[in-house]
Formats: sequence, C-alpha cells, structure tokens
Amino acid sequence: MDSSSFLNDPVSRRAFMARMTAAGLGTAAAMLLAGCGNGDDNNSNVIPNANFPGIPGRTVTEVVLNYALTLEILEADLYRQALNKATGRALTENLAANSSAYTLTVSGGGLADPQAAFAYLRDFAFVEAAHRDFLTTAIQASGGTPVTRRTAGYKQLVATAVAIHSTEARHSSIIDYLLEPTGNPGPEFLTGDRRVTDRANAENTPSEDTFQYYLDPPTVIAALPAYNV
Amino acid sequence: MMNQTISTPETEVKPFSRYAKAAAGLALAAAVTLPKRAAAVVNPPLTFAQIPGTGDTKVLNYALALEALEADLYVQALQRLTTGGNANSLGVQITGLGLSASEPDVRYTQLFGRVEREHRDFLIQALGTNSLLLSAPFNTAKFDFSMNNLSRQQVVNLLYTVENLGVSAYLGAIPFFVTNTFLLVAGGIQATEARHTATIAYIYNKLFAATFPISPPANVNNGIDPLIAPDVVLQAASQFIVLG
Repeated sequence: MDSSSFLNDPVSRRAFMARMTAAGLGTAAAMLLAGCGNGDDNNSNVIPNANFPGIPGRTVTEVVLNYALTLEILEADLYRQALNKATGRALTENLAANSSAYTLTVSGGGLADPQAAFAYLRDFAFVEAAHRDFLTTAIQASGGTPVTRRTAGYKQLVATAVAIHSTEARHSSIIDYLLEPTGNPGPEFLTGDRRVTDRANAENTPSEDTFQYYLDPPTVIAALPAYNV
Repeated sequence: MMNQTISTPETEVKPFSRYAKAAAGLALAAAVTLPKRAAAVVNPPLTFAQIPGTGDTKVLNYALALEALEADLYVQALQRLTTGGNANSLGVQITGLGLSASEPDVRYTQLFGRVEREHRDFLIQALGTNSLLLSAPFNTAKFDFSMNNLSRQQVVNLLYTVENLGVSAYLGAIPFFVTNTFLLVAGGIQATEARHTATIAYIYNKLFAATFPISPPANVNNGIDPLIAPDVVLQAASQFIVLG
C-alpha cells in the first residue's frame, strides 16, 4: 500500500483509526485524519502549520505523514523497550529479525495470564515497527524526508508540550494570587505531588516554591472521576 | 549596544523587548522606554556557540547564564525599589526609591529573587566543575541594568520582560538537550518562571493601569507560550552583561 492509497482508502483509514484508538492514541489519529481530508476522502483541505508545530514536510500531506510517523516511532520504540525488558535484554537492543527470538524471562507481575500478555507485547512490537517502516518508506517514495528517532522534531514536540504546561502555570499562579493576594503564587506542594529534582514525593528544598511540582498520570486520572458528571 | 526602537499598538518599546517580539511575534513585550546601558556590555552579543560544554552540559550552562542574570537583577531591583545603599558588582551605589516592603512589587521582588537564586545555585551544583561561572570569560561576568536610571515602573517592567524572556528561553533550549535527564527539572524551572511572569504582569497592570497579558491570549500562538532560540535570547541578554 502506498501513501496515496492510505489517504484515499476509507477501509485502510478505518483500520488505522481502530488500531490507533486501541493504542490510546485516538485523539492523535483523529487529528491526523482531519489533516488528511475534510470529511470526505479527497486531500484538498489545508491545515494551519500551527496544528503540527515542529513537524517537517513540504506539503500538508507530508506534514501529516511525518506527524503520524512521529507517533509510530514513539510507539515502536516503547514496545521494543518493553519487549527487551520482558525478555531480559538490554533496553538499547534493536528489535530482532524474527519474533520467535523472544521468550518471556521475567515474572508475570500480577497479570492473570502473563503468557498471553507477552504474546501480545511481542506481536504488537513487530506490528508497530512495520507501521513505522511503512510510513518512512511512503514519505521517502514521494521524495520527502521522514522524521527519525531523537531528532529535533521530537524535542520540538516536547517543547510545545512544556509551552502548554507553562501557560497552565501562568493561569494557576494568577488564580492563586486572586484567591490570596498576599500569599505566594509560586509552586505549592500538595498531596501526591512529586518534585522534579529527584521525583520524590516531598517538598522542594531549600524552599517549597522553587520548582514546579508534577503528578504521575495515574494520580491525575484517578482524580478525574470526582469532577465527572 | 542595542537601542533600536520599535512601535507597538500600545506605545513605543525599546530596546530589550525588541527580540522577544521579533522572535515570538507576541504582544508580550515590555511597553515602557528603558534607558541605554551605561557600562561596556559584551559586544558583539554572546552566542550559543560561546557557551561552554557540549550536549546537556551546554544547555545547563546556558540556563545558568540566564539564572545568574535574573538572580542579580532581583538583588539590584530590590535595592532600587527600597532603601538602596549597596553597590552592585560594578561598584555602582544603588539609590533607593524608598518604597515600603508592603508594596506588592517590593514583596514579590523579594520573594521571586530568592527563588531565582535557588535556581541559579541548583544549576551551579548540578554542573559542578563544568559550570561556566568557573571559566573565563564568564567567571568575571557582571550585570549592568543601569538601575539608578530606572523608575519604579521601569524596574517592574524590566523584571517582567526578563522573566517572560526566561519562559521562552527554556522552551527554545529544550531541542538542544541530548538526553532526557534534565527535561523534568528544566520544565519545573520554566513553569516557575511562568508563574513569576504572570504575577508580575498582574501587579504591573494594577500599579500602572497597563494591559500586559497574563499569558498568551487564545488568538496568539494558540494561547501557548512561544519559544525563542538561544542566540536570540543571548543577543537580548548581552546588553546587560559585562565581561572582564
């Protein structure tokens, strides 16, 4: 399948969306497909570059494909490292040529069926690598330059995430200030917070307000239902 | 010496915010006239290539240069706003404006100044013997803000502008990290700078009936803080740095 068939084939796109959703990237997939077209299957839509900051490409299609490739590289690498961890290999080892090279060597970690989980992990690792390679080939076939692992494109995405984070921090400080005008609008340690210097669940030293704290994603997710109606 | 003037819809701006505006395209720039620097500041401006080290060390040294500037700015600004009396590192006696400690700009200058010193000291400790403050020409660096020429409004404006630039400077430095080791700490410092910026903007607006944005508005850069490349940041910062 080449890139044009991917973009123009509703079945392929549906399958791609289903897989992305299963991987917890449904929103990313929706954004990708929104960039590919405007609801039908033509590719005439134009997206603002601000939607994909730091993602290179000569055309909208190339930018979107590189965005997808960025996510696929991330996923493929996550699975590769997890597979290495599960099979006692160094995390830096490349993916083996054949899935039969892998055998589970760690404990089940409380899973009801660790062998089934391992089988999925192994299979998905190869599937994600295939997706990554497909997109790389598709971009190259059209004369474009695919993004690669640990390029500036990655760090640009991180920078964008941090930029959103600091905008939230601005909002937080002003709400703090409005609630308590004579107080300290700097970072404040709350239950569950971790400090960035050593990830400890403790206040910053020497002063509480020196660095922004963070929460682990599971802690955040666990807190959400209290606000759902 | 950078003393060009640009115009915004609000008022005339010079010179520091020129770079932030040019790089970010945002109306987050300072909006009062700052006087020209008096001392022999580094010229041509510093570049990222001149920052010592490679990889993550280079990025941390870049951050340290900015934190050292900020920490010293707060020391001098607090003296200017209050009683003055102490000489800065260039030997210039700072004349105080006599503001009370209960004034909001004084209170937060004191509070945020302490935080910036802690950021600086954290980076010094993290870098150890690789700190740029241990090697020439940075080991003799001093900071000249022409503090005695600044009004109360100009002092707060300068604090806002430097903090705001710091937010974007960290963002612009992230792509230069080689590993992820210090990303979390950089994000923790950067968000703290953002808190300072927002608070100072709020105080500035209250004191001087201004309209500095607390954060990027939704219709500017999608409401997201902009990044500014290290060379652009260093060009702006160099007007306050005296080497040797």
